[in-house]
Amino acid sequence: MPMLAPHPHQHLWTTGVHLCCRVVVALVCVFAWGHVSCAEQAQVASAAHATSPGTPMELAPWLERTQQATSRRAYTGTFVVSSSGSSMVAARIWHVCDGAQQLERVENLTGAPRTTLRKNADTVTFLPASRTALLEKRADAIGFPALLKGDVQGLDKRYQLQAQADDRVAGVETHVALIRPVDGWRFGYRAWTEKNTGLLVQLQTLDAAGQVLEQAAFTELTLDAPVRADKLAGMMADTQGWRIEVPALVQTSASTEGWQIRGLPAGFRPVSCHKRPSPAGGGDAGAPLTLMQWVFTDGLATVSLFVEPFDSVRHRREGHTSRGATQIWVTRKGAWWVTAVGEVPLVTLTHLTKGLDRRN
Amino acid sequence: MNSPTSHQEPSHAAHLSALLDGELSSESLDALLAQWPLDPALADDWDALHVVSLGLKGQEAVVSAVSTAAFLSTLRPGLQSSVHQRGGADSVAKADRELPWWHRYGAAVSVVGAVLLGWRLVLPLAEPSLAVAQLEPVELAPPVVSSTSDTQLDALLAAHQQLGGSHTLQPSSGFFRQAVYVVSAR
Repeated sequence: MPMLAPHPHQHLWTTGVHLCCRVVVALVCVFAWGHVSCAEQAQVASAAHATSPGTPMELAPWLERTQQATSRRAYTGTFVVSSSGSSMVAARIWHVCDGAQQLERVENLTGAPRTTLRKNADTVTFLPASRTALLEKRADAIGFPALLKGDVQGLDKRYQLQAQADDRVAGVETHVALIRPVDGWRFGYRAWTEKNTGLLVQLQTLDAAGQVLEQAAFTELTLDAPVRADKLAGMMADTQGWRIEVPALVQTSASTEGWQIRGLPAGFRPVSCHKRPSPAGGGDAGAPLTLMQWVFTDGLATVSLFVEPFDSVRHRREGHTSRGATQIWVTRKGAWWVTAVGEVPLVTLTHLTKGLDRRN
Repeated sequence: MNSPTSHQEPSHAAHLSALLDGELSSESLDALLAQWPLDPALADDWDALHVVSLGLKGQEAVVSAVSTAAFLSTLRPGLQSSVHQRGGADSVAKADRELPWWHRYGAAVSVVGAVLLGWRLVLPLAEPSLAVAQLEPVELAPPVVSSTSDTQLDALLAAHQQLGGSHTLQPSSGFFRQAVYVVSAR
């Protein structure tokens, strides 16, 4: 049977129908996308673990899960920190939990030999070169809580959490999550957490362009390792034959020291203030406490403002430098020398130092 | 004379790959770390491996491991081929002019539809950037000081890690970073 050639008007009609269909489909797609987009925004995953890539998640339960994961498992591993500045350092880690006691041992594999042991907030760092044991307390024990419970909800206003594709790191299966800052006052993070426990296996700190400033990761990890808490505690207490150093640290307040600050970056607030000897004095116990350290946080990132009297011999180089994700801004304010240090963009440090004022 | 670069010693590149996969033995890690300060190319390889890894997973590009020169050398052949194809593009445009008006109209409507779709796709992503633009003050680049060997600065970094470095993402992570990363002046 011969095929009939389409009439020119029929071709025009067909094309017009196709055209109309394409317009309708396009409009339907536009409105459908708007509907789906709103639905997705409203449907924030309540589960603490990662879901399908791109799904928004709640930050607070995710953070709590990663923090609790530490107390659930014993593990050993090799921990590597690398930065965009091409530095790379590594350490061997032992971690164990004995009831409420958290014990850790960190044996440096790079640089000068050094072993640090931690029992909750107490740390001892053994420095074999000088046969010195350095006794310190971590922030947890001196006023700065590791997790600011009241502030976790507020974190959702400053960071957005989004699931990414699962990955395998250090031989374990992980969920990947992107912690994206809502403004330019803070860095973002990409975190790899072990699927079953939420243990943080790898963490990248990202700048505003999404470039990795620093990566801290286990390159090898053994979960439920046979780590003995009593053995680590024994090593920590065995300081015989070592010269004990306890750096001076006195709690104070900025107002007591004669300082105030104006116009904090959104979400940041002061959390602690201490006095300690200036590094120029070698940090000796008898040295005068001339250095004030005022600490600020937004709940994830922290900044320290170090303020000390200006010394024309020692204090010569103003400006910016960085160490991995840690930014450093050094500036003179009249008779004072201010060093701002933090895992935040440089603009946050300069803003804080500009807002620092001497009280009358 | 050969210099000790990672390109000439494949074992180091292989070690980097194994390190990324979490399958590097302690002995090999020791060898790699010993080589790291001697071979600047290792850092580039390390960055490149991350780019490749993330690219394969379809995640956002996060590492700029490609140098400007390398990027331009990749771009130039593409630009040249684009110039060579201009004649072909002109022919297509001429043929396009001979099409009935509704074909051109259909293409225009498709473009409008695509733009509308694209607008809907891009809008939610653009909002955080707008927030950044509104909140982030614009400042001139400050002078850069090279004080990485400053022992007093190291002491301040250690003090910051002690009081401010207790990483909220996980306490242990902050502690490990402090113990591992801060090169103390002690």
